Amino acid sequence: LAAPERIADKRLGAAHWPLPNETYARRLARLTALLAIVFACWYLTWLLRPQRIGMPVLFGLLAACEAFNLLQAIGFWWTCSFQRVRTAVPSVDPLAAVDVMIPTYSEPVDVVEPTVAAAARMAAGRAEVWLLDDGCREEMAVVAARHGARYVARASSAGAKAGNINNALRLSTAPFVCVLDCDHVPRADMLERIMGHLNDPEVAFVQTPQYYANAHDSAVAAAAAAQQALFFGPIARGKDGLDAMFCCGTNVVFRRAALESVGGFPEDSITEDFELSIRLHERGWRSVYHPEVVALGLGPEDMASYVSQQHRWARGCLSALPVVLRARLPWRLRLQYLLSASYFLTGWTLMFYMALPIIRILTGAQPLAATTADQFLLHFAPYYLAALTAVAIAGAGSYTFGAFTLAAGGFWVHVSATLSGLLRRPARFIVTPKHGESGRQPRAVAPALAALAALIGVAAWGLSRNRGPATLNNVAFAALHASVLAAGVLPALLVRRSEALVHEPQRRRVPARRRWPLPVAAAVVAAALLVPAAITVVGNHALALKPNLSERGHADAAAFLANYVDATGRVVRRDQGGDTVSEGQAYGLLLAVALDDSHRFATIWAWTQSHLRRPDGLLASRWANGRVVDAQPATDADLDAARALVAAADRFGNLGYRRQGEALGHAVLARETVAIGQLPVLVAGPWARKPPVINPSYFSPRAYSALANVDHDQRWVSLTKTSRALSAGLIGGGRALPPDWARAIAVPPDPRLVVAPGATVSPAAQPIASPSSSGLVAAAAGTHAAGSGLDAVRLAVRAAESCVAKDRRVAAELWPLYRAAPGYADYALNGTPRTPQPHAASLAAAAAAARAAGQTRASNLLLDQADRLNLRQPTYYGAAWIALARVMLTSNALGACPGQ
Amino acid sequence: MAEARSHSIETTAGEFALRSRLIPRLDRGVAASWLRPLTWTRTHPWLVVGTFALVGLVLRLLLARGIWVDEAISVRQAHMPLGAMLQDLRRTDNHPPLYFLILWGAVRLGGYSELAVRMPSIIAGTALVPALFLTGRELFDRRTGLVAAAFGACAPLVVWYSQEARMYALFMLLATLAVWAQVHAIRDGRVRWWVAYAGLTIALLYTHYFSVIPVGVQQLAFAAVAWRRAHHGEPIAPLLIGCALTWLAVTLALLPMAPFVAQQVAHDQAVGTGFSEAPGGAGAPPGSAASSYALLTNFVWALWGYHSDTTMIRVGALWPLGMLAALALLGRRRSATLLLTIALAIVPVLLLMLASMSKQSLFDVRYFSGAIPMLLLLCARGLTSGALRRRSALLGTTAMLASMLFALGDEQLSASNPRKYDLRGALAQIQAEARPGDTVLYAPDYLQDVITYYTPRLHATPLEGPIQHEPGHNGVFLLTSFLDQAPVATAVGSAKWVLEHSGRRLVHTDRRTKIITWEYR
Repeated sequence: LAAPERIADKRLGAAHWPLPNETYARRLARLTALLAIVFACWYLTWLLRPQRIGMPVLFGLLAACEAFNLLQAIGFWWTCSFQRVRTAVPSVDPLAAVDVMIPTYSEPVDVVEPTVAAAARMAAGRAEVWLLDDGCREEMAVVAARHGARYVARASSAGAKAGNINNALRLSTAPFVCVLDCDHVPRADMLERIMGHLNDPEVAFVQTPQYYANAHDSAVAAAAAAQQALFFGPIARGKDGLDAMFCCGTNVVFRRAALESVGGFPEDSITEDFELSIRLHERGWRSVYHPEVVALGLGPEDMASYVSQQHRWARGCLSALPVVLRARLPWRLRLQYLLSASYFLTGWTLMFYMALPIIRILTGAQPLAATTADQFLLHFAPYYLAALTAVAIAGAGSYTFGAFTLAAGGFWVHVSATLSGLLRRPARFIVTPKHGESGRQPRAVAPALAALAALIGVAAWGLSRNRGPATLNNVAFAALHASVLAAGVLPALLVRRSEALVHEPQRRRVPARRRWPLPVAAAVVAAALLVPAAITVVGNHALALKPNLSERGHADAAAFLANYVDATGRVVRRDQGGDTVSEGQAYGLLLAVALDDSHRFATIWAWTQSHLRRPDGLLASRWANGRVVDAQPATDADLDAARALVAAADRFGNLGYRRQGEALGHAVLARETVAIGQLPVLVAGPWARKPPVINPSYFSPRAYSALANVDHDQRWVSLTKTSRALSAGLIGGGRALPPDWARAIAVPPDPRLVVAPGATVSPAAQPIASPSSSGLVAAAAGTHAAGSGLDAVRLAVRAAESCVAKDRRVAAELWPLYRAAPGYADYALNGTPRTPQPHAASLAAAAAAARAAGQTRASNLLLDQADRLNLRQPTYYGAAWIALARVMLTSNALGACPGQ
Repeated sequence: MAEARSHSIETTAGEFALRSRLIPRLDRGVAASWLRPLTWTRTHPWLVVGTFALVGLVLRLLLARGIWVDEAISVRQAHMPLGAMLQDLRRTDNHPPLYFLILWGAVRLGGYSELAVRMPSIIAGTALVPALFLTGRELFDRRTGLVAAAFGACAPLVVWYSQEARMYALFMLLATLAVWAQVHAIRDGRVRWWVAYAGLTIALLYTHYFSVIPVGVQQLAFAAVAWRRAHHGEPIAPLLIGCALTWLAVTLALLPMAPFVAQQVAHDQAVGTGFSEAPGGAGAPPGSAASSYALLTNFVWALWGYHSDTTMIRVGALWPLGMLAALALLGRRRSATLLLTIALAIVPVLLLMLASMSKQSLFDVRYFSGAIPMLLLLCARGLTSGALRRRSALLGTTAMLASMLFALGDEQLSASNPRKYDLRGALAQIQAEARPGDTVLYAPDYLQDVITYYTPRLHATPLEGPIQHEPGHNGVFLLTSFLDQAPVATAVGSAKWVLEHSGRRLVHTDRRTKIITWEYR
């Protein structure tokens, strides 16, 4: 080489490759691993709970991805904790002969010649240099002759690099074989530094680091070098500590006997080095990693080269997975090989993580339930930060953001390699290009660009429709993934300005080898992103599965608890003089269960017990100014509280709650129901038994069902039927809204029953409905004062949340009347508003009716409208029923229906 | 050669004109586009810092709000004779006396107007701008100092507390200067820096009790430096002597405060309050309880000031971008000074967050306001470190400044700022409409000092529990705030019921930012 070119070739310079103190590195790695494991447990024990299951398909995939990544992380921590930092050992036979083999195929002279020249200098007196040219090029023969190397060319390139070396092995005889990629320039003292490790006759090979001297020539090269620094730094040192280092194909010295014992390099693999290592370890040979840089090479400088290299590694390592599983290896070695080979599946997990915000924004489905973003952050962030810290510390800062984004931007390579392997498409050995292209290479990152476009597009669409916290959170996740992808693919979209390694006026191009079936891969990625979304849509709409408590639901529930529950557990009606009613306590209990907030639940229940509980087990209905001001119970509160206790028992695993819920349920049956014509009827309270006064909005099919599951009392089943019949009778097939109050009276001949709205004003007058199938009759009030106010709005929600279609039909029948004039605080029974005053609870009722009628979109709009109204005019009752409606109608946070 | 020339033109202003004539036309083009403004900041840094300070002063003087409850307490105490004020502080307060002594002197010089009582904070907050420059330059480099100074001039929370007659602006200033002096003392070792450090530490501890946290972190930094020097075989005796003398001076200086502290603690224990000032009012949902969102909220407050709960919840929902920031730190180099700054920014927050698990009110950005300048320095460092190109750094700094200015506008002008209470306006309205013999009933009772400050002649009575029937003919103004607190809401509800059933009728309702006044006649 001419002098200026030699100076320009960075492979002839020095490497910056600091080595840590072994003890210090191990201790630090173990300390960070311990910390990370603690945080991983903190996260996973929170994540993997039954109540956390949202959309089952998504949850399952999330759990699988998290488990896979955790196993990879644990493998990394384990490996780093056993780092061994070897130093050079004097060789017992300093003049032992070595054959230095430099395989080449299509690389240009300026790349190969410095390697041959340096190898010749290194080998002086003790070794023979072999230039193995599968390209059969005359210029290579000239290069070999110029440096005194032996030139070997084959008629065919069968077996690719492995076949090339095996061919040379048959021609050579030295007891040791050094393999150098043609772009890796060895230091003159390379053999002196590493041959000593082969003093041990059980050592099959000594591997040394691959160091990319061109790291500063392009962003891709820099990032690839950082990735290599992590692998050939703590990971390789750790594998050496565990006697599990595998051969990496270059900068390695083999014992010929070892190679011959396994028949040379396997020619049927594109990662021949990896599989060779497995075979050697199977035969009982040992491996050594010498952590000092003794050769400087070239990394991929452009995206196409990087993608080509990564795809070959991914395809080869994934193909080797069955080999690893079948191999007769000690568990430690087997695990290490599995970790290394399965790393190339991480692209699948990245793709799934990217799909999550897309699915959430498009469909509203999410993998987790019964939690908030706050809770997720609290449990996930320490694990995430500890894992990053472990990488940063183990790599001593060598692993950069660029390295991460380049790996993440190539997620689709792993996907593509897996699919190619599964489809048994033939693998080809593709030489990693040594000279970078300076032009743009969008084709090389087309799948990543497709994912980027999907993320940005969906995020923009989501923002255009909603800017609430839940959407923003998912948009932020999309932005996170999009930023990482954008940073990863950016080098492929920019024109590179740096100079090539050495001046080469007529560089050969091999475009065919850099092309990729990108449309296919892009289609795979797009399908992989859309399939979960399709599953979600099918799950929600066709299978009638309910998504989990949305973040909107969380926000509403949390807002109610934050705004109306004080530190002692009292639910304060701030807009009604600061008093407390038992129904409010019950609402608080239900919402605390929905939010999985055991502490809040315990606080509210403790206050309720200590301040409202009566000797008969029921709850006094009102408390103000430090004392109970109305000792009469209200049935809805008792029933809701009993339901909340039963749900809390399941959710928090507290059998005490179950017993208390059961007892409260019994008290309801005993004191708040009356038997009319052999059938139990839920009345408004113990005070309302004679004459029977009912509040239709107290009927709660889900509460009956929950309590029946606990005590198996058939009266709950009967209550379900009578309540449905009474409700249906009162609304007369959708001709009337339910009244706030009604009086149940028996009319001859028994067991027929009339339920009169406005129980306190008059006996039943004219029936508004014909006798129902159960024999119960609903009747209108005899006064115009009877109306459908804020009490009655609850009926729609409670009926709509029922698991029984007949109950939901009752709610659906209300939809036409509510649709005509939704959201008023008071109606005449015929649906005419009696006040211009809007109320959020009434909008929630309309939303429930709409949902029961199958108008999900209208229902969501009404709930959003209720939210906005409650923001403008906050009320305790409105806040409670918005939250309860979201919880009851859009989630299974209070328990799933059978079969779901 | 050209690079050397373009570098050399950045040395002095005098040489600039001369050399710029010598460099080739191409290089001058480059200088015109990028180097010229940066050269100007290099040759005249204090002019730039002065400009920032002036801008900061103007922003701090644009007072947009009335006296707040805590400020009114400070003003009431400053009204007292010196001995009585100290006695009051001992018996009813839970802060060290330095700021109150300064305020006591200030009101005697400037009077009791809003501007006068806030002047010490305005001065301290403005002085923070050059202090940030000095500290940033000493810890990192000139560019970091300049960017930090720019941030200090317009950071919304810094401006907010620079406009408040409380000790937080002074806390920030002294905490910053103490770091500056410490780094000088470690690097330089001259006596004057040790004296400066000791003096600033004493002042810091006399300003806010929670300053013990950054002071503790600084002592750990001294220990780390000593260990490192010993490890490298360097002499550590001067450092240890300096530390020992500093501790001695600080201990001696703090001795007189011991009985003061003891009495305050005894009083707090007796009444069971601890750090129970009037609530900050920043709505419970986002930032009060110790949670990850609370941490996020306080972080956002620290950089972008106070905003509505709705905004904070939305901003908090953007936390995944924090994951991106964490990833971006991979591979970044960490110097000792950077670690010190990180520790000073984070440790107080984490410790107070832990403390808040037993006492929730402790986790409030005010109490770790000494860490805010460090956070600003970190941001400045993040933008100016070598990892970013100059153009990117300039762009990032501009974007950050723009976001701060936008946030400052929202913080100062938006009525939904949870810490804004228009007590001044409500009391002015009452004063305008009150007739002789009228009464002002108010709740909660800690509004008293504000009422006294603005309307000392009105007959005002706190609502303490349910009021009795008081038939009468005089007007009653029911002034209320903090209605999200159950006892207040209960008391107000009862009072309204009594007033409405005592023959009076509601003639007017005055709704202002988080203040409602009902007028009964």
